[in-house]
Amino acid sequence: MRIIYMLALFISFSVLNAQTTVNPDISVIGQLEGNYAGDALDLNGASVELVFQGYVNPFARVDVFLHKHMDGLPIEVEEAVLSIERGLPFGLALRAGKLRPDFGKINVQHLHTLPQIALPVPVGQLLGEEKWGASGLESSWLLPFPWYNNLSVAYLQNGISEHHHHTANSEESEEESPGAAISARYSTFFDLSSITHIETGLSTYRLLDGPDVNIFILDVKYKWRPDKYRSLFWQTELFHRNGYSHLDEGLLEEHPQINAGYMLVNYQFKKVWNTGAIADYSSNLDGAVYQSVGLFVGFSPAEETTVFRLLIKQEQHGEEDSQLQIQTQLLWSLGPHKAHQF
Amino acid sequence: MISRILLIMLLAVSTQAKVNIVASLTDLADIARQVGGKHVSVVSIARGSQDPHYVEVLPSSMMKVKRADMYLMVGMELDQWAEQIIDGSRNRQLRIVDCSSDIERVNVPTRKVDASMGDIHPNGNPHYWLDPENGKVIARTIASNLKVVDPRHTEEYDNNLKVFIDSIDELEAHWAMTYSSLNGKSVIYYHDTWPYFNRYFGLTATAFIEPKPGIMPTPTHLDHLIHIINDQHIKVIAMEPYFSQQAPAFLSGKTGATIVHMAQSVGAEENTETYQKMLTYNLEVLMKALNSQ
Ligand SMILES: [Zn+2]
Repeated sequence: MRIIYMLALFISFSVLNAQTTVNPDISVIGQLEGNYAGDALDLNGASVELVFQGYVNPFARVDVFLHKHMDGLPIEVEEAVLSIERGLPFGLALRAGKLRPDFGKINVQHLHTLPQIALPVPVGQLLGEEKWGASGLESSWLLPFPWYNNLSVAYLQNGISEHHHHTANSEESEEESPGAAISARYSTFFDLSSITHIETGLSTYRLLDGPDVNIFILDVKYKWRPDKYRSLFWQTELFHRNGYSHLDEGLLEEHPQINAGYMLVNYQFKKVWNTGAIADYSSNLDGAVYQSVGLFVGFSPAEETTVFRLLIKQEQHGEEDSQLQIQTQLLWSLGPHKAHQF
Repeated sequence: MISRILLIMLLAVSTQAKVNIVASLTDLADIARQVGGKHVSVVSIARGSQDPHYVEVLPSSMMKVKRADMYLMVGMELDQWAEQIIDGSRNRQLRIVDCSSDIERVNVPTRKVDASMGDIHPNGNPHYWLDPENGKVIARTIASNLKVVDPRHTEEYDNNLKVFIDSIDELEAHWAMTYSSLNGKSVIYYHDTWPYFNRYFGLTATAFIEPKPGIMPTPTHLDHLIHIINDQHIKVIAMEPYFSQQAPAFLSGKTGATIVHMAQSVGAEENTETYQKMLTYNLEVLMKALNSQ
């Protein structure tokens, strides 16, 4: 991991010093978050993300995402991936490096492109607070059907970190990196009309080292975009996790099963405004049911270069008192922004 | 025996097979259709009524490109979204043609550009297909690439190209007679889509409803526009079909200027289903509005 970090830093500095026409696209995304929960106000959620993207030859691309929280922790390499998208036969593509595998929908979406500020709590519980990413390989195959069908299979050095999760009123706990894991996602996409589209995917995950852990995800995304001022999308993911640990003398210990999910609806209007709702649920978060409902609003006066967001969320965890949370976010971005993938 | 059958089948398939072309915009698609004739099958990614600056990267678009032999890009950073679609297609045989390669560019920034200038086009204004002379350049670029991909029909592509260029020549003569009164007229446009069109037909863009490219109009800017329209006696506010009516309607209400819906691309409005008709349509609506007062 340290090597990738050094490499990424080296690449970034050599890139910044080079004055050629083959510079990669560089963008910087800054974030400032304010958090009000119970009666505590916290304004420390500042972070920046540095993105380098470019083609290394006509068939391969490199994408590097570096992340820095303003809290004394070192720079994190979120992703550093070499992708071969058009160089391989039979509709195959390959990605290698530190990557977020195609596993469910939200795992590959950058959080700042979603309207609800924070990661849904059940996603943090099942995929990790930073979602799932590790060093490894992913191959994907565009099936020879008339409409879009894709199968991705990934092998990663580290599976999803086991974690005790933190809600607004509990402390963060440490986590450890488990051994290798594999995942797969089958997805299909349809045009319902020229302005409405739907994508659905089925994913599975299995830890290869250590306890037997399986995760299954069903994801659906629907989008309607009648013109450049309005759009509506609806995104839902349902998770199921089961597993057991091998104890001494061939004994097995079953892990508690978890069923979880979230549902996100966002409506964009007058181009610069958006509003929507998010609901999430976990059947077993640290031994108790968790659920929350949130409403959000966003304002982006000049595309994605400046965004203000506000989220009001009511969460209920087991027998604890339900809690109101208010989150605000200011987001800015410098540099070229790419078109949005569905 | 089997290999002979296969060979015959292969020949049969290849003699029938059309060159599959995908174009970013309907304008490039229509010119390709005219130049390629019966030997090509063409689709476009963006609809004529859609804003070409913001097109979503859809998996279904990738599937169109997956089966294509050739991709026609506008270039000059207008259709950067096409790169992601092409990548996602996994098509390694695809011939990517940048139709701007032989275009003489206008409005190339002479100093460093940044976002304070709005969503400016850093390599010059990319709406070059709206000058009929550039239509000819695009047709030549497409023909020369078609001849490489499908050399057996070289003669037909040359013929079709000649027919296309002749049709533009004829129209140019007709336009020069019919729409000569447009020369020297001033128009307020919504977005800076028309510098090539204006240059050819002698029009002037006095101001834009967008205060800066890609930026929504502000009340101060609209105020400023009211003064310009009144002081300079501007009669026409022209807008592309994908913009909101709100600001043009406000300005028209305050000043009496006429709103004109222009077609920035083939298929953007009725009677614009070919490249030639689209250009004639725009001249016609402008003339009507300018003469009505
Ligand atoms: Zn433009």
